[in-house]
Amino acid sequence: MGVGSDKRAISMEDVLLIDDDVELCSMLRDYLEKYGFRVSAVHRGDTGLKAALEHRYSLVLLDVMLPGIDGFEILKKIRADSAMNVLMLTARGEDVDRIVGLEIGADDYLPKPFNPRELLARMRAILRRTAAAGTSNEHPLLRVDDLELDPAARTLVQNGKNVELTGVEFALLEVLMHSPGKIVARDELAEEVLGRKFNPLDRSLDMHLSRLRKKLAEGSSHEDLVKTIRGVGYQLTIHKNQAEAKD
Amino acid sequence: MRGLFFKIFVIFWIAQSLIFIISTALIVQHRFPGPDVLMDSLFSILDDQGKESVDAFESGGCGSLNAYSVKHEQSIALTDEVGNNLCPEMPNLAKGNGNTTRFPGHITRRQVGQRYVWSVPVTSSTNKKYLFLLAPPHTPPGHEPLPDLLRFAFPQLPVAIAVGGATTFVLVLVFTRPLVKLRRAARELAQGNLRTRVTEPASKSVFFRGDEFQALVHDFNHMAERLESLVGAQQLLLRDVSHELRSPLARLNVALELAREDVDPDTEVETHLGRIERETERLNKLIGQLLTLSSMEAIDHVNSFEPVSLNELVEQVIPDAVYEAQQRQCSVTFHANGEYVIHGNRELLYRAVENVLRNAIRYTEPNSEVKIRLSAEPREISHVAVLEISDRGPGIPETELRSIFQPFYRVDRARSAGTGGFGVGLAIAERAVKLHHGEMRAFNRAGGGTTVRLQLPIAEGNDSQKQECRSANLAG
Repeated sequence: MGVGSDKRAISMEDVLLIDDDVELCSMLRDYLEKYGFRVSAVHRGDTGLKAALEHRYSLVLLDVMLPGIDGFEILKKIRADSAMNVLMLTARGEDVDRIVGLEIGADDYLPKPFNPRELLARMRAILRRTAAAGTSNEHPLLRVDDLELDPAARTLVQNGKNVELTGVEFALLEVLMHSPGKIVARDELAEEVLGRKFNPLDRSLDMHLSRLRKKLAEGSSHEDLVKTIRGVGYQLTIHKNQAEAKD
Repeated sequence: MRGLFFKIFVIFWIAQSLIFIISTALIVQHRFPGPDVLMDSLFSILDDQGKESVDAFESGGCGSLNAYSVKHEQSIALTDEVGNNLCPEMPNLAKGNGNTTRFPGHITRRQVGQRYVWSVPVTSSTNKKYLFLLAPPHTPPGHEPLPDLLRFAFPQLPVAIAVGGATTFVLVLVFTRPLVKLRRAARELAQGNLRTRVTEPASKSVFFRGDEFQALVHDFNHMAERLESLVGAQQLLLRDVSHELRSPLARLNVALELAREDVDPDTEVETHLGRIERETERLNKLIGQLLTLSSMEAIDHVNSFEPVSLNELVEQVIPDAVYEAQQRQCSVTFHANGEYVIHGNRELLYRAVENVLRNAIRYTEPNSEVKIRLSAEPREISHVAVLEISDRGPGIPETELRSIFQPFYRVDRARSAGTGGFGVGLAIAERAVKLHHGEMRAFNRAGGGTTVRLQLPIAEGNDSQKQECRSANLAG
């Protein structure tokens, strides 16, 4: 973990926990440290935001109800600046909270009270997606129509313009671009991208996809690049004949 | 409400009309003499004219009788006792047969053609007996006492009845309009819309201000307000308590996991920790259900309605439920009569079906079958989708069939202790169905067990939606 060595080594274990429940934070820190995370805990919204913007954490665990600024505001401010991984801990566990969180751009959410093992699994799923960037040098560039996705650099170029994507959005598009024009089943997508089984009540996939759609629509002449096939899955539509995934 | 309006209106109107008719009849009867009086005067005229004509005959013969007849412009005749016409040059009124009516005083009336011929025996001053015959000029029929009444009452009575009807209409409207409003409000209140209030009539109409109905409306609104605040406070308490319980539970979860890490998995402590974890999960589930319930009580309409295929929904619920069913050695079958799309909130409907199905699996006997049937039934305007979930459980006493949808209601506490439910699931399901303007009922099956029936109105333009769905699938 020397200074200037590859960034991944530091960020792999740096986690920022923003939650006003002091006791919960201290126990979570104990727990997560056993699994190789370095946890910094902040109990206020405003200071939490400052910490999140100052350091480059690999993951932010963000509660919604916070003194100072609430979790949604923090997420908005983080998203304005970077695609940092954010996992929302929705205390209320209400649908509105999770949908709003995902709409603003959270990578995942976990309703409180959660099982710490579940939290660990979700954190690892998020980090795995990010980590893939550093190790996948052999992964080829994906090209469909005017989209160009580089799994190694984790960049998406649309019509020559760079499009900023969050980890989940990137992973979703990557899976879809592997088989353009074909329907990818919901279950498959959920397991590959979110690292868990598809649950019909879980709107995460839909929310992530609708954000992805919005971002893609901004730079595209085509209406709907990602199509929802009700009850089955999703499909990346091809508009040009020469569309292909180059090996 | 039309019932009350109609009843009051008809009764009042009939009563008013009867009063009009009876009083008119009384007045007419009082004003116009009855038939007896008419007859009496007719008879006295007959008697007088008979005597005068006999006098004329006896004093001047047929000539003066004829002059008498011309003078009075009447067709008369005189016969002797046995009926021979005494003056052959005058019309023989004694001839011809017809219906003969006899009146007191030996007066007879014989109908000849369209005319009546009246005859009265007359005894002259010389003690000779004659028969006087009189044929009054023919008058068209319709001069009877009853037509008289009608003619007298004709313009007045119908007008009176019409005016009576109009005033009764207004009167009844004044009575029933506030009642209709009150009833509608009471019904909405009963359906759980506690924000219902009755609009108080504009106070500018001095006539209606401060009457009993307005006082009732005022009291009703007061009652609704009180009800709303009480129920609101209760819901808020339930929600806040449930919410506050989650923080310690979250800490408990992490503490439990930390304890686990420090314990050798083969020891007895590990089993205890496992038990604590299970109970914690149960507690969490209960809190989750309570929060769902209280949040559902708070919504009165769901704004995120979309077309939802019930078939698809049930097929999504089944896999999870089958796992539970297999543990109890029972099976789940699903049969649908067609595809039914309703307009609703997917998540709420999912919860409703899931809770009912889980409940059925929980109570059905081992080695039995839980049946799900989906069909449609016609209603007044549209169709409703009917989802029936039937188990082979112990059944529910008839008196308690309605109560099972109340939160925390248990039919048999001892029995349900081992089933793992809280008694909130069906309450959630019922709220969800109600939010979709549907209806949920339970009844016992022949041969044991219970059927829970969910009725949900099918979306309008359902057919086109289905086709859109299909074509989308085909295109995909």
